[in-house]
Amino acid sequence: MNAAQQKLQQGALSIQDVSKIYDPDGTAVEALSHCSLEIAAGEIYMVLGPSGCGKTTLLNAVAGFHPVSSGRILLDGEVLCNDKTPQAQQNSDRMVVFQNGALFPWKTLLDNVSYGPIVQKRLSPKEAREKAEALLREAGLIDISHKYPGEISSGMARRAEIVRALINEPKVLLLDEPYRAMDALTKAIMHENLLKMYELNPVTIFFITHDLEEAVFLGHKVAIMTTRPATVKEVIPIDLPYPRDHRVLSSEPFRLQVQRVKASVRSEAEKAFAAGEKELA
Amino acid sequence: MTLKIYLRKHPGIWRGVLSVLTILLGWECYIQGKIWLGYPSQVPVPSAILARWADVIMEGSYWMSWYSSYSRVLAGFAIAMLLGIPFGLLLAVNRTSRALFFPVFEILRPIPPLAWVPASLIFWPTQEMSIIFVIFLGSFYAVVINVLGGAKNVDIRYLRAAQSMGANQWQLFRRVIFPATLPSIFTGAAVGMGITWEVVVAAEMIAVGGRVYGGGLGFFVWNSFVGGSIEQAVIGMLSIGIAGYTASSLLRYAGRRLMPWHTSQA
Repeated sequence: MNAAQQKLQQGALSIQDVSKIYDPDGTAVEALSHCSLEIAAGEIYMVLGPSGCGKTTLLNAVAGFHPVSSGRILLDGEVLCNDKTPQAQQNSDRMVVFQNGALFPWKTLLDNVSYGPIVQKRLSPKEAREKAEALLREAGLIDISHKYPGEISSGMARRAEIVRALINEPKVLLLDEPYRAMDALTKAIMHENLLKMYELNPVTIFFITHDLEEAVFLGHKVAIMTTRPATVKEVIPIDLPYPRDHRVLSSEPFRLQVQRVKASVRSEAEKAFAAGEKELA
Repeated sequence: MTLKIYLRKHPGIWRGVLSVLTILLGWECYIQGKIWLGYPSQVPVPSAILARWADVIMEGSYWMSWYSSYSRVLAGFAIAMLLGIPFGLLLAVNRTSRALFFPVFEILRPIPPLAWVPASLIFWPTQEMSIIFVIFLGSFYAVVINVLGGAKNVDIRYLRAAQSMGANQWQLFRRVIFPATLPSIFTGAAVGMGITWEVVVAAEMIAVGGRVYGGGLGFFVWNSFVGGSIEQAVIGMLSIGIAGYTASSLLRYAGRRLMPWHTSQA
């Protein structure tokens, strides 16, 4: 456990026996089946599974975007949702960074980042801007903070979106394949940047991906999901010391970890491919 | 020198001028050529039109026509925006109002604005008000339909992001739904503005009988035709084109000012 994690007391996420059936009275698509995960405070927890397996469904349940059909989710021992209240409240203690990005196109990066603390009335607009500037500086985005999201690259936008989430001091950061559709080089830069941001602002990270190397490079642990209906097949701890940088990618231990994960995930990927699964929302 | 630099930076301007001049020249050559070959032509040539125009711009009644049409268009358009934007937003965010008002709206919408002219002449106390009413109807539907479509299709990710950050219902509306709908509002405004010019001219031809002053450009065209001056009728037509173009340009300018982020989007 590193220094960043030790500072952290909050953000333990417990997902207990969660199932989700879409349209139970109609087509009844089972997206999640008895999923259980224990995520310690300050952990980078990678959820890896084939496309369309139901990973996003799990993230949406944690975020409070839709109800679960059964099971419960706890944050630091407090119930977010259970059978009685199947839908968790949306709250700034769980911030989501979306797959295709959701920066407000009509606000500059600075205004996007300072938005949360202002609407929550946690900070005055002036204080919020100052804090936003400090965080944007940390992330190397201060020079483009006056630009609109439409004027910057998707990599920059995703970084800014993580900053916009962090300024709200969430207990958990929920990342839904944020680096999907980026080229490998950009992805590698984004990964190092995320780890740097994490060192500076430690927080529990729940990270959904279908990229094996991404999962091993970033995570303390990798949970491997089965194909739909998704359930947890195996949780593999990644035994690589932090801080990790690009040199890790060519090391022998990294390669062995990737192999281990690949062996576990491969059969699921084959099943998903054979079933020709379409992606679930 | 500065003008030269400006034009170099904005090649669209002189290209635009070039295209207009080319059309005028082609028109002139075609008609003059026809006459030269011995075929008579009813169509006036640009040189004659421009010569006549030079006289017309000295007449107060010509500018009065501009003023009349423009003020009618702006009045009808402004009322359409003032009522149409809130109405469209209301239909988008409130299911009950949508169920109540949308069917009525959809039944009235296919009725062409000009079909309202006789009824509105009876219904409204003055001719002026009936014309403005018809103009209002022309743009109202376009504004409402675009605002409704835009506000209903706000990306759910923006709403979820704002809600997670703690936005309440009003903030969600004011800070997310409204700005996200702005581009659609301007689309509706641009379409609506186009319709107002179609409507004002026709309404003036029908409704404004025998008034030289305050008849508007539509009446100017009709009156010139009846008076036998085809050149002047064409001048009226071109004036309407220019008036509509300036109105749309102002709208585009306002759009760029209000949505600096929108031009930068792909």
